[in-house]
Amino acid sequence: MLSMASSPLLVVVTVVVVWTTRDVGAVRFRGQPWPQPASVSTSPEALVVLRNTFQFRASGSTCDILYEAFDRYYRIVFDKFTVRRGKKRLQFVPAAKRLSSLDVAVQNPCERYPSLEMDESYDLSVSQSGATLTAPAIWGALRGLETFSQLIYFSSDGYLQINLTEISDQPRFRWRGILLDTSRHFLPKEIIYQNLDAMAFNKINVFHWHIVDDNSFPYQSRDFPEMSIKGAYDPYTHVYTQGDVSDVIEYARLRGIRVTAEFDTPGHSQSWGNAITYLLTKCYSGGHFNGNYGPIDPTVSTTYQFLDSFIKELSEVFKDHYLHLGGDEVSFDCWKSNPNITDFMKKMGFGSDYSKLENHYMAKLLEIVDRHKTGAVVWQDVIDNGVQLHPDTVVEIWRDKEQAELAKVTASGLRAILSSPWYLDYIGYGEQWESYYKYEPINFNGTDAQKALVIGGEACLWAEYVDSTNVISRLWPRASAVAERLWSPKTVTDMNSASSRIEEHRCRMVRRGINAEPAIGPGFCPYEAYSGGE
Amino acid sequence: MLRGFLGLVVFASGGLFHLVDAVLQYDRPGRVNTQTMKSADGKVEIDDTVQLSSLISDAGGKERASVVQFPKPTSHQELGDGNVEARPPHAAITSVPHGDTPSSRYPLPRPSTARPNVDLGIKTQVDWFDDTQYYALRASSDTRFRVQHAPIPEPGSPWPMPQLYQPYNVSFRISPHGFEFHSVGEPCELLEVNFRRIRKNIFGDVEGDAAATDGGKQPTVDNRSAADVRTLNVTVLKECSEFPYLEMDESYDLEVKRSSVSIITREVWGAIRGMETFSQLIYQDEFGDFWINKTYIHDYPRFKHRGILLDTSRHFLEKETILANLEAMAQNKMNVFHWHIVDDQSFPYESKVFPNLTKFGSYHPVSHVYTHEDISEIIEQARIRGIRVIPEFDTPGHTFSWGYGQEHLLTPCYNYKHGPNGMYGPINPILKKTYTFLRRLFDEILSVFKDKYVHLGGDEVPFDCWQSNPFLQNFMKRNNISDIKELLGLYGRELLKIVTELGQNRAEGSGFIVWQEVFDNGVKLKPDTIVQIWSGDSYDIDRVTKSGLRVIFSTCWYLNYINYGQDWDKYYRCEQVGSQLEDYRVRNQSLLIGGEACLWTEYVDDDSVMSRLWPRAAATAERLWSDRHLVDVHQAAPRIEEQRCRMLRRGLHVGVLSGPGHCSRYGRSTQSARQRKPAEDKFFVPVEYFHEPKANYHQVNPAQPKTKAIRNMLESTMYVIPLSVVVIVFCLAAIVVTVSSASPRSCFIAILAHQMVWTSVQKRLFIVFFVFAIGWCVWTAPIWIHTWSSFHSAEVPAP
Repeated sequence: MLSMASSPLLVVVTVVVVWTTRDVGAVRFRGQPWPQPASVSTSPEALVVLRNTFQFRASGSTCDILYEAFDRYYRIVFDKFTVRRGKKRLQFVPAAKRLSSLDVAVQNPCERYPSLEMDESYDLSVSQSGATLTAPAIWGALRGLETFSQLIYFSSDGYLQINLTEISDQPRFRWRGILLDTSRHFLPKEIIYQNLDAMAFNKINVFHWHIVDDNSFPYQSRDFPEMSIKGAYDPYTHVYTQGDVSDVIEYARLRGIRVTAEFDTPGHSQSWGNAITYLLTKCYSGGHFNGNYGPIDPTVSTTYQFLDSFIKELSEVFKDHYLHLGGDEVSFDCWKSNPNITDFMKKMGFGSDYSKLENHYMAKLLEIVDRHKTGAVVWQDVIDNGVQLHPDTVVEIWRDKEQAELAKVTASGLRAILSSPWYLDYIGYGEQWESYYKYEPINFNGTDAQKALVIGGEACLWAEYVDSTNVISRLWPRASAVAERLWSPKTVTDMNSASSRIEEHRCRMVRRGINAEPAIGPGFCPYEAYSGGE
Repeated sequence: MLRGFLGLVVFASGGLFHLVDAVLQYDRPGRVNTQTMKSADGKVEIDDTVQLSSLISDAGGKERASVVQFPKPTSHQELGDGNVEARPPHAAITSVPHGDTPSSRYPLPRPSTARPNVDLGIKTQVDWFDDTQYYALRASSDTRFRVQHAPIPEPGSPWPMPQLYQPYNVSFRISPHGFEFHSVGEPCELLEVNFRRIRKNIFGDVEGDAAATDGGKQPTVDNRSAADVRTLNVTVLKECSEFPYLEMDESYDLEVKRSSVSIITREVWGAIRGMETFSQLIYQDEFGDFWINKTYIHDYPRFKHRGILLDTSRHFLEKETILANLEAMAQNKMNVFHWHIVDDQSFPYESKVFPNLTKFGSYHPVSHVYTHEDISEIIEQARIRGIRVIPEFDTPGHTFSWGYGQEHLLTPCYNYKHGPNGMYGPINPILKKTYTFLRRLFDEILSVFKDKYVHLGGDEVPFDCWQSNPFLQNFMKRNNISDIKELLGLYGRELLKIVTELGQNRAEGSGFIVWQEVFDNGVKLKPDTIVQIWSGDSYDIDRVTKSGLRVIFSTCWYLNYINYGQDWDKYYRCEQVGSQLEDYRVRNQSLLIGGEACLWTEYVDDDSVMSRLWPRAAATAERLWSDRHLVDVHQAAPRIEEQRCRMLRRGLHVGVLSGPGHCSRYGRSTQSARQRKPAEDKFFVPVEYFHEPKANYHQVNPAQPKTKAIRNMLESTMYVIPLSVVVIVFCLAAIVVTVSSASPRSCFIAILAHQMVWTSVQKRLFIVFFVFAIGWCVWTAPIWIHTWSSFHSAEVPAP
């Protein structure tokens, strides 16, 4: 009798098993967040989100950031999801299966500008009784809204729906940045906006704006307008006016993104010299001025007078506490050739050690910056040359052997951000995001206190071979890999999960208007972007 | 041909030298050219660079008018008397020596190290080409620094370089208003369409908006009429043909004179190329006025097949992307759009005879498909630009996506002695129905696509699956085929026969292009077949041309491979084509007919395809159009930069070529963010219609319509036969046990005699098992029938 009972069962079980295994994986777009939250539990049960009944509600403190975010995320969630009018008819959804609102409770009063110390943690709960988002600060609410919008997906029934989910989330690092270089090639303001949008979609919170360099000076200075007139590629079309800059800062503020501007000195400043004629060092050959100019001349007082008023302006224009002072790749050749500088070296007793001259400059510059109550970020070259830095300074690591450098910087009690592994301007064929994703930022022998001083990282896109036509597709979704590495816990390393999520995230960005390029080989998105031309 | 040599005189004389010269000499009335600079201490220093350049212009004088060089507008005094018009073209032509020996003015290619290092004191210590560093001075600044900078664009320079290009130091004004395009001779619809297109490319949308452009502008030159050049006369000697074809004549003569511009060509295709050149000669000054220099051009392409391959299978490309790409091709005088339309990953071609191919083979059956209307629009837009559309239907490999919608097309792969392993290989070459399918499909393809040629693929056929299949092994045994590659030969022969036969119904006939493996695997090809080389070295060309077949070369132009830094120079100087290939061409009676730049789309889609492909492919374009001796990257650099800026100006989102820089205001880079299409244009269809991701395409297991899902799933496992046996035995045993528990001895007799008394439980169990056994047999019957029929299937005759 045993066989009587078991034989049909066996067949049925076989069929059922085979049938279900086939179906797994067929659902592709299922509302997985990127970057992965710190803790998340999801139930397969889903609620429907309807355009005409859903609303965001503020139950804590409110401000313009929150209201703008409601407006923005309502559009992100519902725009471009046109309900299909095909053969399948939509059915009535009972109220019990609907999600009618998201209650956002911000516990503390809003801050005006995001800062390094901002609190980005949040708790998000989507349950049968409703959805709530609780965050200590407004910045956490922004991150939570982003996660909430990513949880919503388009079901096969033709509805937007969201699975019952409990998320408790906070970032692993406080400094998660993108460097954009607007000097090698000019980037129009609209492209920067698009990029800020994409950063918000990836919970990146620092826009490191490498605004000027050797090649051009597109920043239209308030006090020294000559600098962009003579230093920009085009003084009318290829500049950021004061209005543009404040627009960008405002756009970023509403998305909880800090704008850290970089004015790189004393090297990388050739374009400054077009207008500020006394600023750069004259290079000599054979005892005569040879027509070349080198880094900023650190020996004359006019330099510091200029820097004082210029940095005063910058500290007022850029609202963030930190200003990036650069300090990388200073070439000593020109300084060595200049007799005035040689005299100065003798007078100061520097001997032939030109890094002491750089020290002299950086110390004075940091003094000026400090006087204007601004924090400083510098490239690692500054500390490699032995400059004594204010403990408030942040050091950005960009050369290789980065882990040893991190150990060295943190041992001296300074905070460090890392960008060596994430130079996204270096491209190659195939799937590069995997290597960015797999890189573990803290991998050196040191005390816990030292490791706590590593406050984040940045993905850098230098613009030698990038301009407005390809910057977005070059940067995204490769920078998304960096975003998850910097946000999610150290333990999130599963490549299989990441592959499927980044593919969904890439399509999500495409749908939201970011022309992200394919992350993984052949495939498709429901929406394809078109960017062939006008 | 000889006339072309004259036009290339100046290339030997140092590109950078002229470049800096060009920047400084770009003066025009109303603008003060700063020739001095103030140093920091206020002392005025004479700039030696300026002196140098003025020396050049003094020494050059009128002779410089006859060289191929950056066209410089001169001052109006020179314009007034007209004496600067140098000797007419025909005089120049006679001065070129006849015969093959090049004259001393013949621009021989030479390595970049042999370039004279022009020491301008401060700027050229590092060469941009050698170290991707380029220290140039910016025209806008009055002091100068060592800064990495891309070559500065040369306004009004043509790309690709014509075979004979003779500009003069005389510039004429052109006004968008009242400029006429005039067709001399037979009316031709193609010309009229191109007049509109070219006018838009030259003047943008200013037409009909006179108030906006003229109203706000002050006249810049008083003593000159509003416009010097008022008409473009196009003379086409032959009748207007409808579709471009391989042997079309693209040569043209272009002459820009004070009163008018004339283009004379044999065929309309040459007129299209000529108008493109004409549009490139026009440049804008800083006041927005349009100018053109007195010029004489005689031009013809070096190769007749100059193509771009776009792959729409790995990633789907929107129709708009393809149309933008066609426009970019036209601006680079490319004439073949090689449309790699289907592949393993998806089948976006809408087949009406086999709709299932599209329905189940495409990424999405509605939004990710090229309908016949889409295709005919693409063909039409290509035709207008003199571009042929050659579709590629790659068989027998690269066809996984075909298997979704066409049963028994692909070869099932077998594990040794364990039956089919669920994988599929290339198209099954031994079944007759394969060829009936192909005949019907290609019948449709040849009616949809208008070009004579169709690309049949044939690359990368994995033989191991064929090798594993017992039916194919039997077939080979029976027909004494020892080498599995001969099956490819068999398939190729049959397919070529089909396409040839189908071509007899078309006016233009049919021709084929195949990838080089087909040749390498020893398939006998008809002499008019074209072989496309994509791997190996230039010896491949020699091998193929020796057997008398024509060749397209694409090995060095795989633009999907990317690296940091500039790489267009690599494509520009593609070694094989630059040097040896020409020898092959001469030796083999022009059997090398051209080349193609290929963009496979594994890592590219709509987001990045334009900026990835262009302007890098422009380097390929000049290599394939212009003279073989034009190999100096330094000379090309300012022109290709201008080509990039020009394409941007005309609304194409092309990428970056070589380092930091910008396009000038009138060739400015995209000032506004890219405008995405409004969402309403998109047809959104829920996820359920999408197939599973097919990323790992070697493991693709073709799926069938959902109604057949289980059956096919079972079919594709090797357990179907043992499982069926187990199920049937179980059911029979259960029946026997059930029945015999009532009447152990003669149960079956009892059943038959209706004598048995059944309990109701027994009765139900019996019915359940019996029905299940029958059901199982019916359900799996097609598999058994298929297996049986495979053994007895009609096969093609052995070779």
